[in-house]
Amino acid sequence: MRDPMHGYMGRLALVNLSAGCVREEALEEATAKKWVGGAGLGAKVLLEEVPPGVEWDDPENRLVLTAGPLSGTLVFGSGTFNVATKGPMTNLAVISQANGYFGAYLRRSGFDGLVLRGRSEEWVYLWIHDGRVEIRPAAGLLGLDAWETEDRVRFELGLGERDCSVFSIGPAGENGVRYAAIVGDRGHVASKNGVGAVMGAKRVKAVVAGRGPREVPVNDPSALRSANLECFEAAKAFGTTWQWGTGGGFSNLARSGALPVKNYTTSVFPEHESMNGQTLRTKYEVRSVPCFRCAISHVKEVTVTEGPYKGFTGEEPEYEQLAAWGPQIGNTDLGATVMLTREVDRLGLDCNEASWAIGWAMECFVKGVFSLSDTEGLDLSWGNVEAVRELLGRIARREGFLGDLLAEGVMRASRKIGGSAADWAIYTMKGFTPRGHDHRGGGRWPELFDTCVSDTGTIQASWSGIHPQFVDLPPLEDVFDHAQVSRVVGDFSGFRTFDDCLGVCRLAAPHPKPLLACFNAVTGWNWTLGDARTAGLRVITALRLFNLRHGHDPENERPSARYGSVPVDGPAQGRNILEKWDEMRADYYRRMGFDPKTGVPTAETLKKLGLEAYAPDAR
Amino acid sequence: MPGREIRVAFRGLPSEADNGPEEQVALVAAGATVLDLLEQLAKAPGGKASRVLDPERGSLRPEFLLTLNGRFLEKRLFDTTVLKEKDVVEVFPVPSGG
Repeated sequence: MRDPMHGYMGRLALVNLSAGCVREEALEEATAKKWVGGAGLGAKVLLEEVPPGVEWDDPENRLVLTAGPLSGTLVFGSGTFNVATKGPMTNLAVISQANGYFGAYLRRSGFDGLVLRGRSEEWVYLWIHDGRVEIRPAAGLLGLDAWETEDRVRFELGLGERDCSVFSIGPAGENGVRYAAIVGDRGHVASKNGVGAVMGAKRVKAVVAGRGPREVPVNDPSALRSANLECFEAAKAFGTTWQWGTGGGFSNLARSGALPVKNYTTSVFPEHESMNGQTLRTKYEVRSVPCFRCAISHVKEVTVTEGPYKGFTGEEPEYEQLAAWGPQIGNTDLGATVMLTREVDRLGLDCNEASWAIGWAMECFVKGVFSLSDTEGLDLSWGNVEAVRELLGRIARREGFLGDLLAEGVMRASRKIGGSAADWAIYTMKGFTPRGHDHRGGGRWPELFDTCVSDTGTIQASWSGIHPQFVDLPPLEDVFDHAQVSRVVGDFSGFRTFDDCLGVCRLAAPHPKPLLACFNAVTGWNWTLGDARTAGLRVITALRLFNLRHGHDPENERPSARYGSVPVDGPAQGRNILEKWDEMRADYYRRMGFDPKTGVPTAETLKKLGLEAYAPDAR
Repeated sequence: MPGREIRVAFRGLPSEADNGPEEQVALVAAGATVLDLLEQLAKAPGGKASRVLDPERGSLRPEFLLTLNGRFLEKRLFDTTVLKEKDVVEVFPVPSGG
């Protein structure tokens, strides 16, 4: 009898929505080693099964939901899963992760992943439990928001809150908003590049995984316990997240000129201390709502204790939501960020794209490009949070001129309006928008550059800064040195993408070394850091091949005019990342093994990564 | 030659680094540079500067940034930038979040 493959359940579920049937496929060890877990298997399916000409809303697009080899193990925060698809913001690939419970429950129900193809004739949801996948009617769920969908599904299945994990699309995904997210477990999101819109195009309202009794086979449980504690210690030492959540860095971002303030019209936000994580957790009532087996427990529910939203209870805004619904829209009321965070998540929108789109619309309003007639009565003055709440609903329903316009995302909206307003929008020329910072500020140039050159539909090397020193590479010494920025992004690329393959929350395991030790303890593969990086680079390069096939022009690896502009005030005033952009990009290409002029992976790179069969001239 | 009064703040450190005041006024010699200031502060027992200065490299640790009067100052300029009376120096970690 063959030994079991450690770290995997060994099964994928292939769901043909057009035919209404499910087939199982064994996951072989050779495949699992080449394409690791979450992001790896997703990239493989995209590259092999989605040919050029298949658009994001085509039934032949794939939506791949995969756990990683650590998902569902004793590793803290191992409920994470990955979503891979061709997304509507860029019409290129995306890999996007969500935390919570789904990744763990998927495995405990017997599967490493789901591959969704086709389009259902009627709306359905998928119920994954006890080693099988049921396709069930979802007509009764239509129009419900993400919270209501969770409640209704649990009621229908007769299950309690932690008996299953429900990830669904809200109205935004049903209505084809280009930046619709997949939302579950009360506020966790896979949000990038419109993965929720793809799910909606397939007429899948929700995916539901039962808690399940199955255990992930682990090679060395004792070593895993030790490595997990190392991850835990690294997480506690990582910035102020352990104490204050991701909002703990809010004021330091303000001091760096890296908060997004009123759509980058200024880089100064004096009210930052009244809106940071420290204030939020000190003033408001807070209770923990941890993810699967998480001892970090940075996820909280809060009740507002003062101000206009006193008594409002919602999930604690993460940094991204604090920035989105605070400085970016000119709001200085912390309670309102709690209200808008819940609104965005219930509607099933990506908070980053939504806030860039709405911030841009507000700038258009205060500068007279949009009249009250254009906004159909909404006063979009900076800080009008109730108008923002109303506008979010209109976007999710594609209601009215402005709701429908902004549902396309800020790049398309701004190009449609044209004139000066076209230059005020913040996005990458590929079509998606950055996360919620002013990346022109101190310490965030790597993320600006990474956002523009990555192949993942979001960042690939940076996250909460960039940490080459974690893997013994030289650190970023001068945060405004163009050459250093391209160096660290190129040389650190691969490590974070490997992390994205594993099925663990980044906040619970921010350091690549103990995380790799967990991976080795689970699988028994004894990989080095070099092996891990190679696996990550294989994913990135595979996605690049996919993107090039699907029409990606590397000339679009640039920021929009406003995104790449020079700050007019604040600590980073006058700093200009674009003055050496072409040199930076060529340097990045070289470090990644791409042709420095065309950005196409070289034959040598493809051979090194075992991707020769996918070479552009091998098609 | 009289010294210079410099306002110094260490912002946004985790609470386990709360081993000294967040803000203080430092007196440095005339002609002192930013690096001189940091080294002087690092010698104060229990001071926050000892948490942010890397003695081997003679500069800030990579994970920290510094502004002088509200503008970023590159680390390579620390040893040539001379402090003036009432200058304001702020040191904080490369911001996490998001």
